[in-house]
Amino acid sequence: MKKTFWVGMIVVAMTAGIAVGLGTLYSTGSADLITQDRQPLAFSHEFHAGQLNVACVYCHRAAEQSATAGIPSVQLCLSCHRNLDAQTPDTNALLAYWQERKPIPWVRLQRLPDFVYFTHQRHLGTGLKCAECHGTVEHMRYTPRAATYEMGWCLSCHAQRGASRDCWTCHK
Amino acid sequence: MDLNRRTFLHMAGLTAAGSVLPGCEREVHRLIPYLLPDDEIVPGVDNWYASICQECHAGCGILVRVMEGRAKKIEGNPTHPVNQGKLCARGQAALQGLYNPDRIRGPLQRDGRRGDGTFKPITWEEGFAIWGAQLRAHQGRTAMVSRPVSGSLAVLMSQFMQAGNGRLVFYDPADSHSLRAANRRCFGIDGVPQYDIAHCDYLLSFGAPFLERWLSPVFFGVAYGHMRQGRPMIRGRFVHLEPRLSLTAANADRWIPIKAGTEGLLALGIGQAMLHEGLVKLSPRDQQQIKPLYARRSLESIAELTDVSRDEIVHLAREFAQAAAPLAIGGGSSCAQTNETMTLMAINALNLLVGNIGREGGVRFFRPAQFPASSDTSRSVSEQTLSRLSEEFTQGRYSLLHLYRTNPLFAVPPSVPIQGMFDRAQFIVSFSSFLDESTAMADLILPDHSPLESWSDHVQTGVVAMPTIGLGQPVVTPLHDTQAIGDVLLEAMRRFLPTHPHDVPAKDFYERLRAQWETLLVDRVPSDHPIGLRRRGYNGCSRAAGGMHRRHRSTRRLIRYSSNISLRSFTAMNRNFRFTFIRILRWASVMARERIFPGYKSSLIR
Repeated sequence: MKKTFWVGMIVVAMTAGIAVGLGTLYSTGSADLITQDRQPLAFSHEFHAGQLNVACVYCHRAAEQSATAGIPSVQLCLSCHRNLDAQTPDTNALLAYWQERKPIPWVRLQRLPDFVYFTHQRHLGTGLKCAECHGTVEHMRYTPRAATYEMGWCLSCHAQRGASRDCWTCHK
Repeated sequence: MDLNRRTFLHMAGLTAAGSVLPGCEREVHRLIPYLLPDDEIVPGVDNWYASICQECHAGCGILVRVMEGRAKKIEGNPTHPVNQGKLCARGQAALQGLYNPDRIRGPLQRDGRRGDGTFKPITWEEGFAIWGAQLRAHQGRTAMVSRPVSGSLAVLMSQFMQAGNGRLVFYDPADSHSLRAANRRCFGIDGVPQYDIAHCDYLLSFGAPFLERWLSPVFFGVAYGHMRQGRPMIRGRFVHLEPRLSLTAANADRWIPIKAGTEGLLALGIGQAMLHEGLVKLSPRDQQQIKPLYARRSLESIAELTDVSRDEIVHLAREFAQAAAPLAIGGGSSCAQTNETMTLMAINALNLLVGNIGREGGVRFFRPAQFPASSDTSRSVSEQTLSRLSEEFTQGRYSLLHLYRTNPLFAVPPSVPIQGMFDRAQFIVSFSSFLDESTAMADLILPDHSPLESWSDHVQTGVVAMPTIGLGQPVVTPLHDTQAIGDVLLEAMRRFLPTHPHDVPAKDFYERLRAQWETLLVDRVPSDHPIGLRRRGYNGCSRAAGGMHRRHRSTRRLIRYSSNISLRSFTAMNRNFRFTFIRILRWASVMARERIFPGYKSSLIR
């Protein structure tokens, strides 16, 4: 009886262990962990978009003409940063990338799966503001994901604004 | 280890669990920005660059879709007169050549015995130094075997070989020597005509695989579509004679299997039946002159030799002669025998009999564009010349061999002795992008860019009615440490060969090409024309004046691919009436000169 109990416990423990392990692997693959959001440079949207009042499309230049918003080239960062009065350790880190001729390996925060067809150009063209999907980044010190970007979230907005809810609109 | 049921189940369970793990891998989650932005690149938006396809010699116009600096897809250019927006499978697959993992990624030097295929990477500077030393040492004894190139590169190559007092040979196994030879002997024109398939209403093809690979398959594909379905109330009829049920044969209204090598004989039979039934559109005097050509063999014996019945031959003759716009073409399998030139001459004679030479829906000759100075440089040679060159290598006349995008060791049949060229050459330089059989014998490899990475131009000879020149531009930055052959040759001329500085005026090949195009366009493009060289993506055609090919060679191909008994019997028969043939063809030449091309009179030979 006692032996059967222990064997049962071992089986349960192993099953639980495997489930936890696989679950962790799954969640790191698809969901967001705090560690993943740590950027190589301490870039602040709050400072650039908020205090300096730089327009979104000044840096994310492709947003109005392409599916992807694009991220600024290192040269574009340097167009201002080269002429700063006082450099801080963080801005020096940026200059180091430029001097080594290396691109900055930014961590991607927003991602849609490959089976979703989405274009920034079309959404901005209808008069949507960046903040409606991405949140008011000008008030955020660190930029998290502002929404789930899952299908229900897309559809609620599509329904609210009378946009197409045909499957093939997004799943081409 | 004992594999019992329990162990097996354990292992199966572990394997199943293991196979699930890779699915949990993290997706790529880094965003790498450009260091320097490119004005022409908007991430996520495609750019289309116009260029020319260089997979074969047809010179189709292409549009290449490029995203973020990477070529993704190739389509036909709708404004190009050759392919009119269409493209064949080979053209579509040119991207596979660009991204091929087996491409040679930088200059290589032989490391080991010749032919072992072991190489060590070197820098371009080292490559130039080694090559330069060899060029100086073998001055006057250099040779280059290249795939046929045209336009600016052809001129540069011949200048390079002239500067080193060497010999330049263009070789392509699929080239149409016999077609040109037959036209030279029939009409005195050393060129490929336009076979106006689009406007004929009865097409008799002697093995010409025009829907697969013949001359310019995309052009003929478009023309064939027009012949069948492009005209209201007229659907052209297509009869194909070939031993094999090829793709082209499968498209025909009638496929007539024929004994290989007897196509010319059948053409003579059809002509004979036409003459006999009085279906020939020639004056009585001309008929009297051409009759001896058809008098040698009875229809019965032709039927026996060709495996096509007498009734069939007569039926074909009636159909052909009574059509409003008949056209006979020959190529492919009918040009794979020792009697290929004779066969094509007999087919030309059929076109003469129905009077379709120089007419719409028939065989028409057009002057090719003269660009840059002469298009005669891009004549390719036969296997016979190649084997003679090999002999000269064996005798020591040549000792430094250059190879450019050609693989004679693979393409030339073993019966043609060319191994000597590779065994006896003291040094072999290859500009190839791939380590093929011939390049594996090289001592030094200086790899060329892919055509999608380099500037080029292409002069159309024959096939289309309009003199056409295509301009090819790089659509992506070079992927590997390669250099364009034009730049490499110019650099070598500047550094190693005794040329006058004014012979090498251009800094690089692009500058040279640009100068040649500016000369061409300066008085041909109206000043208000929106097209100009400055705009990227220009790919145009231009009418250019110039004479017919004047040079003509009397070399006949001695080296043949195969022989069999039925073939030999035809060859022997050919020998008997070659004299008649030549007489008739001289007549045809006179006729061509005086009646068919009055405008071209001055430019014809004799």
